[in-house]
Amino acid sequence: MKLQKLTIRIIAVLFAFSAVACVDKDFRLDEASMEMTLGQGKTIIPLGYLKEQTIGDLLNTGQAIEGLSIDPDTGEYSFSFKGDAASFGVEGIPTSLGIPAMVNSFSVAYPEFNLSAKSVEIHQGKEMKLNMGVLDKFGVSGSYRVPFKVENAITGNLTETITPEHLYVQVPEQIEDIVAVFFKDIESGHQGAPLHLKLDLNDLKGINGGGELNIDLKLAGGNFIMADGDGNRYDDNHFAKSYKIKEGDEFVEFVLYIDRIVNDKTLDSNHALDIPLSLTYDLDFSLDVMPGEFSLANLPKFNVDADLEYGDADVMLSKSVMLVDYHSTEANDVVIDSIPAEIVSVKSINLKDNSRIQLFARGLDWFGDAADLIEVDITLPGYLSLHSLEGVTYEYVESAHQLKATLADLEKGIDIGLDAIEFEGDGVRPEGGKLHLDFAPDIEVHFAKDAEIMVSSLMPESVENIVISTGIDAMEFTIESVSGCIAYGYDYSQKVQLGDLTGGMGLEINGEGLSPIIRIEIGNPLSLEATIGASITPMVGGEVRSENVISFDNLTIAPAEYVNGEIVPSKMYLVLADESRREEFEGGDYTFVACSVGKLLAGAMPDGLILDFSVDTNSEEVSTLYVAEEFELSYSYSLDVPLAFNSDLSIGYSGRAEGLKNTFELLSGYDIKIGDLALLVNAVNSAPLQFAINAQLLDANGEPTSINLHIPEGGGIIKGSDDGVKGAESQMRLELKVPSGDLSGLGDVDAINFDFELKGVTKDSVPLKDSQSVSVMLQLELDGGVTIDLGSFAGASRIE
Amino acid sequence: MKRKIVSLLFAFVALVVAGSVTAQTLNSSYFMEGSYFRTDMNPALTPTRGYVAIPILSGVGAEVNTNFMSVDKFFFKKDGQVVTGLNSLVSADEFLGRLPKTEKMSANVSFNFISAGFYRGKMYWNFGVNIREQADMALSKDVFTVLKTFGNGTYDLNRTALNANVYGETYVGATYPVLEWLTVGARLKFLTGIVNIAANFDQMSASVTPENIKGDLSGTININAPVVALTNMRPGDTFNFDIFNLANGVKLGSFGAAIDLGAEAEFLDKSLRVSAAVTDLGFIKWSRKTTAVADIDGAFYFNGVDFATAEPDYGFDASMTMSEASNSGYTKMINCSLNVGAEYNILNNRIGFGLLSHTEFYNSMAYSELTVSANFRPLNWLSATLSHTLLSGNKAGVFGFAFNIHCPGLNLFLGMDYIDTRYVKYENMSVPRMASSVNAYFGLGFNIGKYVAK
Repeated sequence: MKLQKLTIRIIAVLFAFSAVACVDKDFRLDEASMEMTLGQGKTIIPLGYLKEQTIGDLLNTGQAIEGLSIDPDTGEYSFSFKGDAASFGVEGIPTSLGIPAMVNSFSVAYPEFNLSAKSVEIHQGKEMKLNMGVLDKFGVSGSYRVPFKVENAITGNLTETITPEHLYVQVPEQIEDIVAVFFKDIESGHQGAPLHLKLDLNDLKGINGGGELNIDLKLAGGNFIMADGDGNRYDDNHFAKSYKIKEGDEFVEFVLYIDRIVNDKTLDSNHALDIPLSLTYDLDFSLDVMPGEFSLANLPKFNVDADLEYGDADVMLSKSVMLVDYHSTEANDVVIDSIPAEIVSVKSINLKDNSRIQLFARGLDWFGDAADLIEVDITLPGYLSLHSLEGVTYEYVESAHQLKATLADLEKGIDIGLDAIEFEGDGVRPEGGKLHLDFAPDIEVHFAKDAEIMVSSLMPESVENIVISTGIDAMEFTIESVSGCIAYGYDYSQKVQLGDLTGGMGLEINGEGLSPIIRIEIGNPLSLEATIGASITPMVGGEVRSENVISFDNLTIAPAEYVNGEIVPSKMYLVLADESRREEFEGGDYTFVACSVGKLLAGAMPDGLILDFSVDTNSEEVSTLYVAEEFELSYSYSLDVPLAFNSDLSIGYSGRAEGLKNTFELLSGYDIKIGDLALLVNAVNSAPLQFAINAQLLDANGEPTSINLHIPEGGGIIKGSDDGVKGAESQMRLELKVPSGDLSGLGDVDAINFDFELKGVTKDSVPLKDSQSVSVMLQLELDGGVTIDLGSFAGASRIE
Repeated sequence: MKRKIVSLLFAFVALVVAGSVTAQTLNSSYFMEGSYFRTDMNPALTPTRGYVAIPILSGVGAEVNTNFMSVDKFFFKKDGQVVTGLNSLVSADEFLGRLPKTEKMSANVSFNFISAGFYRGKMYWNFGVNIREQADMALSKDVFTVLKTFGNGTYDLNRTALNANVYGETYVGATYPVLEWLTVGARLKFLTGIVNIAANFDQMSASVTPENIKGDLSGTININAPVVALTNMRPGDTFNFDIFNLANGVKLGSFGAAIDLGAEAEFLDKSLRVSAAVTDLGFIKWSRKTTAVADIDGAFYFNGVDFATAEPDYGFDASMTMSEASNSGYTKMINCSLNVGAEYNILNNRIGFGLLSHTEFYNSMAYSELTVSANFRPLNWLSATLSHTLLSGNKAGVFGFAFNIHCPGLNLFLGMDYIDTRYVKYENMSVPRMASSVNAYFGLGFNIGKYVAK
């Protein structure tokens, strides 16, 4: 029982003890601080990264930067700006040449062509020898009456040679030879001197019972061309014909016309033609006798009568005898005006193909039919460079500068190719834009060789002095080129807008580490060697920076070529760069011009350039300017700024991010504390640029906030590569200084000022290439964890 | 906020143990001779009288066992104020040093439909029908390490697992004193599998390095439930919760068996009683028709923002796909327990000093407790026990107490294994400070038969 009681008591005590136990009243869970610190050690967590990306990849994925270009061979970057091909007109060069009419007139006496020739008379009568025949049986003497008809009772014959005076023709010197002398009928004046031949039967006429007369006549002294009354022609000096004697006729008469004698003799020393003539005839007749009376007192008689009157002559004209031999003593002044002042002296004005002048000779129309036989040799002024055209009848002797044409052609006017107007020596100097020319042609008019003509055609009715005009009509020609001393000069200025080559980044450039290159391609449309000078002045924001101008002068550009009638402008490629780059460009197609191109970029990247060109041709030496309708001096240019960096160059960029108050204000409402926070940027960079940053957090008043960035000594730089090949490893450290770890101060941050600086690494410039790469690992280092008060997130604050 | 946290905690516990009636492990009741609960722990240990348990009224209880969830492990007093272990005033060693290597939590619930026991001669027969729920979870300590000392390093959470079993248990047990000093007992249990969930992760880790933060998850989840219907689901298909569909009917096809075996030996003229038992040694063959196995794979990584694309380089991939093992049955052991106890009695068995080793074998872990108790039996109808459970994260000052009135016609039981003697305040409530487990149970039944002395 006792034991039971004891047990119960023990149980009760224990129960009571257990029930009351120990309550720590100071340990209040409802007052427990909900401030928790997550992570207390140093923790580095990744924020972001950029896997090894080449500069090429980075630039390709971002917004395209206008003007950034890459060399396909080397991969080197440059800012490039290419100007559109442009040109400016070169004016004032004449394209046509107007030549005024050049005429020279003179008066000459008409030459003598008349032939004088005495008429050759032939008068002879000869009795015929008769053969009475049967009548002889009757012993006829005296007169007798024939009672009956007897055929062929009487025959007769006669052979005689007549030797008249010589045919003597006095020939003027213009006639070289007589080809033929034409006779004329002295009475009618018609051509062909009649040779009357008459057989007068005389006392036999009473018994003429008809018969026949046969004649065989020969002339000597030349080749006579004869014709009988029937129009039959007889050459070879021989005339033979039978005539019928009609019964009862008292005579038989016929005419033999002697047209001409073709000469086979030369002129004698007196320049005359002396032709001995002779006429031999052989005549026979037979006569039928009819009853009638006849006598033998007057026997039949044959009469030959002729007056060989000179009518005309077919002559060979003398080529050596000048019809006109005119040498100008006074030249006409021909003025070519509108010569540009730039043409200092004219050596030649070359004309386009198919340029031709029309040469004429007037006043010689009296020569009539002889015009084709008359040659005119005109020696033109030496400054006219001519050539004969194809298919023409005239001849141009270039060596003598002489045109040989017939009078007939000249009367119509002949075209001759005009190549140029050329002057000897250094040419002639225009005065007041005018070129004075002397026009004084020499003219020789003569007959053509072996010119044969009838003298009558050279005998106009009344000609004494004649006025001859020769010359060239006024013409307008298209100039192909002008040779001489030419002094064209042009100045040209253009503003070029480059735009913002840095893509709106507003970079500040210090130092002259950038070594830009300006390439200029100039086309010279003038076939004249020229010297070129230029200046380039940068503009930044519309402001002209004259202090940064670069220039060059006295560069010689080759003349344009003239190929197949086309002007092919010459091209010149200039490279303007620093002297140190000469080796890169020498030996190629470029002309290297050393100048401090970097001056253009000093301070800031220009957004515009002023280009001034001056072009001058050499006026001291003779050159040939080929002419075109328009001349355009073309040019194009490019500005390349190779992105090669050295330690002398720094590129800065300052920026400000504003309007951040709302970004961080969210945190200010919460009780969040952090330990030491740092942003780590681990980079491997094979680009030749080191990157430095400085930043400051600002409040709405522009004052630094209590929370701010701190960059430890040497911790704000990402290194660049020395050689652009090997990557440089570095770590940038940006510490966020948070007083008491209280992040709520971030709510005051309204803006972040930051300054970036890119700087070259070594003294030597190392280019930026697409193959260079950057890899970045961005980490957040938190030492001391993040302390949050859960109560503040739930809207309840920590009870203090 | 604080109230919310505490409320959530209580709600969680309530959800886990809602409906519990009979606690599986009432350590304090092991040596209580009048309690019929002790037979559940060792079939050789019988109550002093037969009984009939009234459904619903026979007991109400909740039990959550953890080895880490106590106030003193998470709240500290520093500089005169109470702070959490994550407060900067608490060092990592101090906070993490209080936590075990693997955080374990288990919740066992048993709903008793009917149970009864009676003596017939020397044989004690007992039977009953229960619905039992066994759930356990293991959590790697690295979860708290990450919170406290988050930094660069690798965190291994592989020791995370979650298992749950719900099954019906119909048992018949018998206890017989084979020798004067030796009593043996057994229970044969027919088991009807209702729900089995097992989630095992053979890969669950996270690492934080300056280069990346990543985590991997790989595991499987077995689900067997009577409303699972794998209609049109094939291996490789994305797991879809549509497989749980009452429209397909409720199919109970998973069965199993278990046995409880126990023995008690008395020595030194019954002064020393040594007992040992293994309970719930059995299995359930889960039907293929109601089995869904999903492979879980997940991974996440964060490498930072890829500046090339301005997009965060992260990945999160989680998939739950039907495994090849779906629609195939499997046999799984249920959680068994090993109870080994020894009690030394004095004063004619009025007072006994007991030592109980209770080990729960879960799928993912083994959970051991060692309970020392002072057992008082002043009267035949009154028992009380004062205990302290060791090796469960309990600190000194956490006691268990139970008392049992087992008079004829009435069996009233009230007990708690984890009664903290040190409390802290939360508003007007006193909250145990040291106890990491909690259970409380109340039982009401009717005793039948005469008293059988022990």
